[in-house]
Amino acid sequence: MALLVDKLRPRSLDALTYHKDLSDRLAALASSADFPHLLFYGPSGAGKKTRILATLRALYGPGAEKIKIDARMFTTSTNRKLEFNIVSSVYHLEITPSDVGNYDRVVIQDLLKEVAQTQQVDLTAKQRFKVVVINEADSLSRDAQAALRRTMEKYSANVRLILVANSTAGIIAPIRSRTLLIRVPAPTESEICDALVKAGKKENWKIIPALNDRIAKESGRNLRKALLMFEAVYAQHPEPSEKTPIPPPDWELLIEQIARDIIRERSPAMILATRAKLYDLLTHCIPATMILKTLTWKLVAQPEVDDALKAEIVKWASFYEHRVRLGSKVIFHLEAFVAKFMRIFEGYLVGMDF
Amino acid sequence: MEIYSTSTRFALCCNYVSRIIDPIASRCSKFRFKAIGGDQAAARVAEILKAENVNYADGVIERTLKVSDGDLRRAINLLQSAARLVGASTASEKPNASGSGSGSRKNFIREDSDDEMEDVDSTSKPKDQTGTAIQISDIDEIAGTFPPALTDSLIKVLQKGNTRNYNNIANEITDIVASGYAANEVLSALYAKIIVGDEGDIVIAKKGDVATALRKKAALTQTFSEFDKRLIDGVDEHLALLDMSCQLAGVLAA
Repeated sequence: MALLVDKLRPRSLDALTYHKDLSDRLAALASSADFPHLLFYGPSGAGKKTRILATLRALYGPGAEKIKIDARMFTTSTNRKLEFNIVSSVYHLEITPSDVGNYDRVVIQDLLKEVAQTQQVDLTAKQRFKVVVINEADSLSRDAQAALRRTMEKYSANVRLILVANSTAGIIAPIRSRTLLIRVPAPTESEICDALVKAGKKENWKIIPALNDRIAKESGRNLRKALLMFEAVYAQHPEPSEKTPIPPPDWELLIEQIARDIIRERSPAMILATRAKLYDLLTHCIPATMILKTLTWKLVAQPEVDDALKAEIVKWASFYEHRVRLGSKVIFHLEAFVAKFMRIFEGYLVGMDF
Repeated sequence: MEIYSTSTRFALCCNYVSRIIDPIASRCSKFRFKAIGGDQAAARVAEILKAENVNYADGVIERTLKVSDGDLRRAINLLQSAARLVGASTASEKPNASGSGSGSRKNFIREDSDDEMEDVDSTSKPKDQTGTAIQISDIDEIAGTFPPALTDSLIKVLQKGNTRNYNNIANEITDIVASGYAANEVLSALYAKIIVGDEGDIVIAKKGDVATALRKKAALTQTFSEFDKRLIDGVDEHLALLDMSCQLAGVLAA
């Protein structure tokens, strides 16, 4: 059984439920003769990928939805073999080059060159070019982005790029100036409630406005998260009420437990116990940045933490997140943040500054 | 370049002459290209818009040049994208304008002929001259800059300090991040408003208190530079923006 997030995803630009002006602009772009390179950016769960798929359908018709997955081999200059997955249809292909780490420049250059050098194979297609969707474009290395810029200039007749990023801060300026920036803001809580009502009606589930409001608020304006929460609630309680608890993901529960523990007890033994929990989170592939952010939000939400402390906690969270980004052993910096929080909180409780 | 100087001449193009090593730099004649000034750039842009028959509202050229920061190629690309979006939106309105809007829209989608698209393009051309024009908000949206109105509301929240004001700052930052604005654009907008702007001193300190204003500007600039580096290193933008805002609020309210 398919999840609601996939089953109820709109397929065409007309079916999109929010950001109407953006949908109109995308439809106009797809209709125009000269389709530019695009850069979609915005927070997670805002609908960037959905809008891209709808745009591709507007460009090429429903054939763009028939996709397959290929595994390709690339060879680096040191004769190391890389295997890389490509999602493709007759008209477009979709890649995530950051999966190969530091070798993304090789993938960008070789793959795009190969795609760009061949003409559109379907002579009856509406467009003469192919589209390459590049996911997580802001995670590309600087070398890969420079290679991408040269490639997008050289082969712009045959290939149009659609970049997907969470933020344009990581995109170099030459690429930003050659693409049309499309900002996709997160939906508002009322728009998420509308989507939940629509999903509930389609599934013949009982509609409870107060529960939908709570789900929308809990999701942090992330529509994917809201739909997953919605489905989880109805899977556990076929007849929910206004007070039905919303089940959080397992890793969030564990992080909340860490937050409560380090507030309750501030000792080396607790740091040791927290380390085991942090290792557990890391081995389950929760990103260190996600752990640090969620731990920070949980800490500042605790009633024991005073307003005066919150700015300090955020300051050190940002400091250690910067170190996570620069270093290679993330457990060092996560544990350092836990120790620093204990020190700050202890100093606040006993009324002195260390 | 020494061996073949009899038959070959080199032209090196770079942004910073300091990054060219001295032996090469000393063998070249140097030409410095300055950023194009306001009046010349504005004249050139106006000439292009006139040649392309693009309608635009007052202030659009000035806003484009300000946003492009001396980069004429970026300014021209911005206006081309804006003209395409505005003109394309006009073209997309054409099917709905007729009495059988939904009917003609269905026909448009079903028939894939090029003639249909040409008809839409040709009919949109006269409408361009009479109707839609590029607005300043279009330039802001396409350039990805942080809007001035949101900058002002954020500064108003920051001026209340950070001791009892954390929740207000956190809510404001959460909204900004959820709207998709890049953190470096928010930083640039705040910097331009607080440090460089005409009203910067009034935002920082009481009127006439020059010493306090200068001292605060120094502290604020240090905060801006620290977070600019962090953003380039690729930190999480929500945390960085929230931390920067708390620090700015602390200095502003001191």
